[in-house]
Amino acid sequence: MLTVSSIQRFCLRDGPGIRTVVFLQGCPLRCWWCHNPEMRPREHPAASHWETARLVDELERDLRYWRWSRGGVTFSGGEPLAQAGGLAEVLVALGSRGHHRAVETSGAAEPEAVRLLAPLVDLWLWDVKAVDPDAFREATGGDSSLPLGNLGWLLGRTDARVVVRLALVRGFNDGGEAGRIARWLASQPRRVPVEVLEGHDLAGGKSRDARPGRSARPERGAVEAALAALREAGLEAR
Amino acid sequence: MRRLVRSIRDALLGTADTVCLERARLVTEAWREHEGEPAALRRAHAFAHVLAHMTLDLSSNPVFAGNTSSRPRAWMLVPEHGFGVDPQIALENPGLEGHLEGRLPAEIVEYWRERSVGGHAGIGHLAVDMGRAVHEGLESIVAEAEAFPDEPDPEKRDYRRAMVVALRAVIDWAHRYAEAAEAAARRESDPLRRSAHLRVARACRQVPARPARDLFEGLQAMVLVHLATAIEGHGLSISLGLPDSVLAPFVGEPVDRESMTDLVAAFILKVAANSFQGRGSKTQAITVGGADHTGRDRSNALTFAFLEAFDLVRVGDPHLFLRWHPDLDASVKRAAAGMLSSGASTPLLVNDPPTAAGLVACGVRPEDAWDYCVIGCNELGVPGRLHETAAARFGTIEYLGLLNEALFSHPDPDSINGTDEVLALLELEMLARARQGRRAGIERIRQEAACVPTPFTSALMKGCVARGRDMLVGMEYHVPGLYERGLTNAANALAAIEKLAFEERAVGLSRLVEASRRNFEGAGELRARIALAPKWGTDDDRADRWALRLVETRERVLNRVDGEFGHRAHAVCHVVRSLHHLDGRRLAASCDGRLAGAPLADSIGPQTGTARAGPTAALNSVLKLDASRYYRGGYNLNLTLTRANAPVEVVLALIEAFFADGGQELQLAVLDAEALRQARVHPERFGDLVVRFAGFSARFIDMSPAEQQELIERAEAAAR
Repeated sequence: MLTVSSIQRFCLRDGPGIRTVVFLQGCPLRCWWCHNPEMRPREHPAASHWETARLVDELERDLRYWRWSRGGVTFSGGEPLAQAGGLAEVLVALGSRGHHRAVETSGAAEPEAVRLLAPLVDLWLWDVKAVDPDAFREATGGDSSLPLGNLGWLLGRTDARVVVRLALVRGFNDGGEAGRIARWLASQPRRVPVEVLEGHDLAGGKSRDARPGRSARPERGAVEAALAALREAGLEAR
Repeated sequence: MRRLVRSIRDALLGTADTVCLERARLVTEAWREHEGEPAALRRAHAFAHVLAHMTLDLSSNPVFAGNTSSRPRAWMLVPEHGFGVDPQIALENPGLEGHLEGRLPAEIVEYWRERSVGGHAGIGHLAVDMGRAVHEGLESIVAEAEAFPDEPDPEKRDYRRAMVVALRAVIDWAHRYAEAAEAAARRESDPLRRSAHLRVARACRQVPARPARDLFEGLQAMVLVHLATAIEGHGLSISLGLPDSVLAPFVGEPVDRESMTDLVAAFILKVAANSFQGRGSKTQAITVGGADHTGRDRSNALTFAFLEAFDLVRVGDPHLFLRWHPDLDASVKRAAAGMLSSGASTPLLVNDPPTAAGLVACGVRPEDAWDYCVIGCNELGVPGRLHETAAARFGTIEYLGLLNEALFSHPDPDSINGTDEVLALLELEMLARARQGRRAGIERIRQEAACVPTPFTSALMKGCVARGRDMLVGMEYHVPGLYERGLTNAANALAAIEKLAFEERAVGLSRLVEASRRNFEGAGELRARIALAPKWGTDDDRADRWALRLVETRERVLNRVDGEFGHRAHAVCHVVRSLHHLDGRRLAASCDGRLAGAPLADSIGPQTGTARAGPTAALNSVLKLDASRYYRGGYNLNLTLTRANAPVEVVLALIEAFFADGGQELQLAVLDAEALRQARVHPERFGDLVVRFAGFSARFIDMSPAEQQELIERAEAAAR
């Protein structure tokens, strides 16, 4: 059983090909720039509950487009790892039917969640926010050791395909923090590609934690600087 | 050559519409002279009189011979059908309404007042047997028509005589061009133009009388035959069939790719210069690609040349359709997807397997069915063999109007016990209309065959010479064709009725009917609830099932009418062009929440703004309708994507997925709302922006403000 905030079809930026993205309800972090604050609580009036078989049927409506585009399903959120048990069941079902499975996560979850899901995920889209524990806590309310530990384990102990996503947020990780992230990633047992994204203000203050007058859009030149730092550290970045 | 092509294009598109009286005058003279003769002969003599005396224009596009009027964009008039602007063209081109007023000599108007049969758009909706014209030549048909010396039936004898007169007239017309081109070459100082004239002169001594000897002569033969069909009086939707297949024997010629593209571009511009109804779209279809009945891909270097040339000239009409099939050359698929991804809105795509299967289900032999082409906005036919499937002579099934009528005429809608009963009432309305339409169609065809026969065109239709009959009544295949529209809105209306009146029981059906009758005045809240009801095109079975029920109902009705009239089968084509606006103007508000006068959906897909589950869901909904069963005459489906959502790979995947599972037609538009808004303000910068409206293509800057707005809304909805 999964608690789903919404299902979005024909998504092109959350893994390869044409994808159906399942936004799972619930997230332990409280990022002030969050675009989907309604997905934070474990339950929400707009959320729905799905048995595995019914969810797979629903997702497979777009099967023909996954096949022709080498796409598949991406679980996002919210924080998918927060529903690791239910998610594992759905991933098994999708995998047994030959579908490509991606999970987009911040990694902020207990290590058991990642260990449970690792063999079931074809592609991790790992949203690395910060390495510095204080900066991480200040911006997200969470503990950075969990996501970093989880990613470190995944890179050290498995051959899971991982793409790191670095969303630059003004005054948080668009300056020196990007360099620290680059060095941290470069020091891991294996190196994975990094996609640099720009934080933006789409949520327009719908979050409780939104900071009035504060923009998430990174400083001019921050993307280029982050790309340079990542490449300098020997990482493939775009 | 490329520069010449561009200058031809810019001059054509930059020319204002005027009127050319030559055809009207010449036809009138001949009509007077041949009074009392059988209609076919009279028409053939009139046609010959026009071709013998009309001005030959070899200057506006010197690459090929052929013109319909004395100068570009001067309306060629067909008084046999009357003087007027086709209502769709008037709607699509503000300012053309009344274009002819004050420009026609009173005595000509007076002469035709009681003689015109009406129907501004003419007969059209056909593709002749270009293969025969190109590879056997018209002289071979003359010989065939003269091979019945002992014909006892005077009607057939006269009809074949008329065919011979008309065929010889076209041969003589080509010879006139040859002489004029030789003279023009002597006068011409520009070497490129002079060599063009000399090439035309040489070709017109050969074609279309005798078989073409090379690619140029093949294209020249097609141009002359095509424009002759227009001059004979066929009106809208005269199509060119399958030029890349017909001309395939010449493809091995050592012509470099750019020269071939330029040649095809000049050919397209010649077709674009057909001056019937001026700048109005004549929906002249060119179909390329496709497989034959053994599944073998027919695409070749010319298929590419047509794609490239359309990308180069960017005119709205003619229209390019690409026949898709599993084994279509991968590079052709990619080239087409690349054009669509770039925002060209061309080519329009038709899928072979369900289309051919649909025609076979109508009784067309497989080898003919796999030779199909588009013969209108999206109507289907077979060159020289099948055309009755198009043009809706047998009526239109317009579901939303039928639904409104069934509901509005009901004395007590609250006594209706369910949506099934609503559908049953609609079926009764439909049956009455379908019977009436079938009777009217038979009568209309009889009248047109009697009053406005077209012996030249008929001579290029298989079997008409042997039968000595006009194409309207002498073809091998008789498949009554009907149009269909309003499916989307009617399905949405039924889904809303089902949900609000019968599931939730929150609103009585009477209240829904009354609210639409009053155009939802004071019923904003009810209309908001309707907006939340399931919608066709969102892959929601609660709405999609009603679309399926509607087409099942229609098939039941038409099968019954087939039986009553002794017809073997019928073909329904979902055709819109811009009729969704004309229907909308006529119709009161409807239970789908549509306001009175507002346009209906622009295709068989979702109503703009309601595709809340995205493009894949829209395609899925349409796939629930078995095209080979329910749309044997085709449908048109508009799908709009934003630039960010339409990389080539995604465009290809959408097409392949939709077609692999039985989709019949797809018109993919990649639109950018901001660019469209800019184009409205700065038309001078967007002369190359060709877009597909509902069922026709045009340059965005030539469209009416209402059409431009509709496209901007489509682009905005795609971006949400």
